[in-house]
Amino acid sequence: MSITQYNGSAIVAMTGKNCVVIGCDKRLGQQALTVDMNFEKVFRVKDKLYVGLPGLATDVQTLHDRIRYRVNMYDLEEERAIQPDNLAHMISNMLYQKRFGPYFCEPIIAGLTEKDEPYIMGMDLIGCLSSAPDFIVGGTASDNLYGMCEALWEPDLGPDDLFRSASQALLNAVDRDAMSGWGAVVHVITPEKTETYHLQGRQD
Amino acid sequence: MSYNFSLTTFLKKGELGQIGNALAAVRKGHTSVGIRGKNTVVIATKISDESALVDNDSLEHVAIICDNIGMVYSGLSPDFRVLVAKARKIAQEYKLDMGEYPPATILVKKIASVCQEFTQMGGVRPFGVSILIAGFDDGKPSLYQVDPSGLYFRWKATAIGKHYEKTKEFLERRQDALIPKYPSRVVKTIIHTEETTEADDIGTIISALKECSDGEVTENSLSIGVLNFSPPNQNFNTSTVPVPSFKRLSKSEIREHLALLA
Amino acid sequence: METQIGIRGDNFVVLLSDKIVAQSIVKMKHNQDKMKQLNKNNVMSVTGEAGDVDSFSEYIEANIKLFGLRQNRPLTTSECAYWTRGTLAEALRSRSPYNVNLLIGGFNPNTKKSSLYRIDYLSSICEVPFAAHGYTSYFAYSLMDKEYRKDLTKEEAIKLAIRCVKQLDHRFLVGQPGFILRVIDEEGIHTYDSQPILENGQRSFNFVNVANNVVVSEA
Repeated sequence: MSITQYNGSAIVAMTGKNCVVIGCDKRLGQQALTVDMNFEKVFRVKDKLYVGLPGLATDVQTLHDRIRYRVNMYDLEEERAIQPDNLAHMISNMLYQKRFGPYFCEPIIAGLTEKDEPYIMGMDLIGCLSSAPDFIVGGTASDNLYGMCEALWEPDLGPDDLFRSASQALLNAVDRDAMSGWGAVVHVITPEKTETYHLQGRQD
Repeated sequence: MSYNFSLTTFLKKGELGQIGNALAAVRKGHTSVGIRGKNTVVIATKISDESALVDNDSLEHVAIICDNIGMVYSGLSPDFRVLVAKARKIAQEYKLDMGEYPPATILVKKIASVCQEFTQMGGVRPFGVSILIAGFDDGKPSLYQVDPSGLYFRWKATAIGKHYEKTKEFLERRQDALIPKYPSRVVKTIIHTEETTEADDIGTIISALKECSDGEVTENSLSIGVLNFSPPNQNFNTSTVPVPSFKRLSKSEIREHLALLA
Repeated sequence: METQIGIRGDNFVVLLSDKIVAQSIVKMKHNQDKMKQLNKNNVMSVTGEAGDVDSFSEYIEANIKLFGLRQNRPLTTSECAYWTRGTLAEALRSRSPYNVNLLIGGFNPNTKKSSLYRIDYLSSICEVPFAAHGYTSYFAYSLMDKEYRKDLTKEEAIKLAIRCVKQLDHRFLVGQPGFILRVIDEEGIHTYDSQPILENGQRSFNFVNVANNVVVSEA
């Protein structure tokens, strides 16, 4: 078993028409033992910019702390909102700096750009960026998520339909993954607002 | 017994002597001018021609920092080289981190803090240069000046170095004056308003240097840098949208501008 | 092989740990207190590798006391927990990581609420209603899952801890003979020591408050 699978996680980001969603499961485990059922792995960076951190829980927390530090410093120094592509580069760089002792986490960035265009980006644990026009998945349920997203994603979905597709993909993927689940959180990001939904899912 | 490791100490009247001296060095340096236009920034300097034997081409007066930032100086050229090296490093580190070159204001703040450090750190002296930095902020052009003390300003147009007061007065006069010297067309050149073109600004700068600095103004004694948007899919711009680019004018280009003013 | 349990009620936390110091198959000490009092309303219980437990917990204890002196106020439970996590996380990526599992429980006199944090040796932290570490978790979690309620009283929480311990004694190959239990509430920290009893030929434990000899038993 890889160390990235020690705690269990599932994260999905999807693009729609002028909107993106990003969601995660809530389980924190130690291998097969569930320790916490309220452990969120997607974090708000700005109003229209979220980052999902699937992987080893300790590194999820350390990375989140470091990202928050860097973004706060960016806000103060540059007096403008950080853009998704800049955040992606920043995190990628942060990860590559630890090339030979990496954080066991494969971040996913989702947000809207300055022009309210949807943006999603994934990367591996040493910061190799990979973009996709449709969806990006991560965590122990990623294989299941690929299948679900491949089946449910369509181009130009509105926020409601996109939320439905992403939620269905996430819930059905984690149901077939022993390491993730215990409900989910989904953030729907549109130019006007970001809405957060807590999904019940199977509690077992 | 008290030791003082800093060369920059306060005088009784509350000033830092070394900074005043550094500014004196700046005022001795050749004149540099900068103008901010609608979509452009032009910065230039008049290279001193103390000896006809010097090959001016070997000197880098207008420095390219990165794709979208350039700078020029008045003062000591060796000190400028150090700042250029630092600025380039700052720009590249920023790009490595954020995936794009810094906005002008960020680079200016960092360069200014380097200058400040050199007024306080032990074993160093302040830089003997003032610099003009041309860059973009939020897609809009900006022109900055950074002084040896670390003080920085944003200008619509300004001048530094020898005869800077006279040159600034010239720029102020030009602010809403006609430039009758343009033969091809009568251009009402109100600098720093929406109406000037890049050529107008270059013309104004050359006129300012002609009028206010010592010696003859030729393509050999001028160094001009222009920041603008390079059109898509041209030269090095492989992008499909215009991207900021900072370029030095070639001698033939300067000659053309001189001809327009003649 | 060590036992560590925490149960959070609305305005109290119960922490329980065993007292054994073992080296290989030999029990070297039978009365080791594995908890540290961080300040007047926060307690940390620590298990893990022998040397690490002492050096890490003493370092945390001293620093949190220092913060308290510097800021002229006791640190809250979350402050204690997050600072401890940060220190452990930094060490994790250094040449000398600490192999320790922690439970930090406490009461906040301002909000009148209690909280319980679980930190493992990889320094992932979570705020939970109940927690356990190591082999204990395989026995205790299922019982706590079944019996835990948000409105648990102090008595009930202690009894739940006793049931966990009894279960361990009954089913766990290397169960321990003695435990220390602490309740952290508005009044401060109450310490209980275990007292083995025989119930229909099966061993169980009573817990005796060391300050006033009040006994809490499972029944």
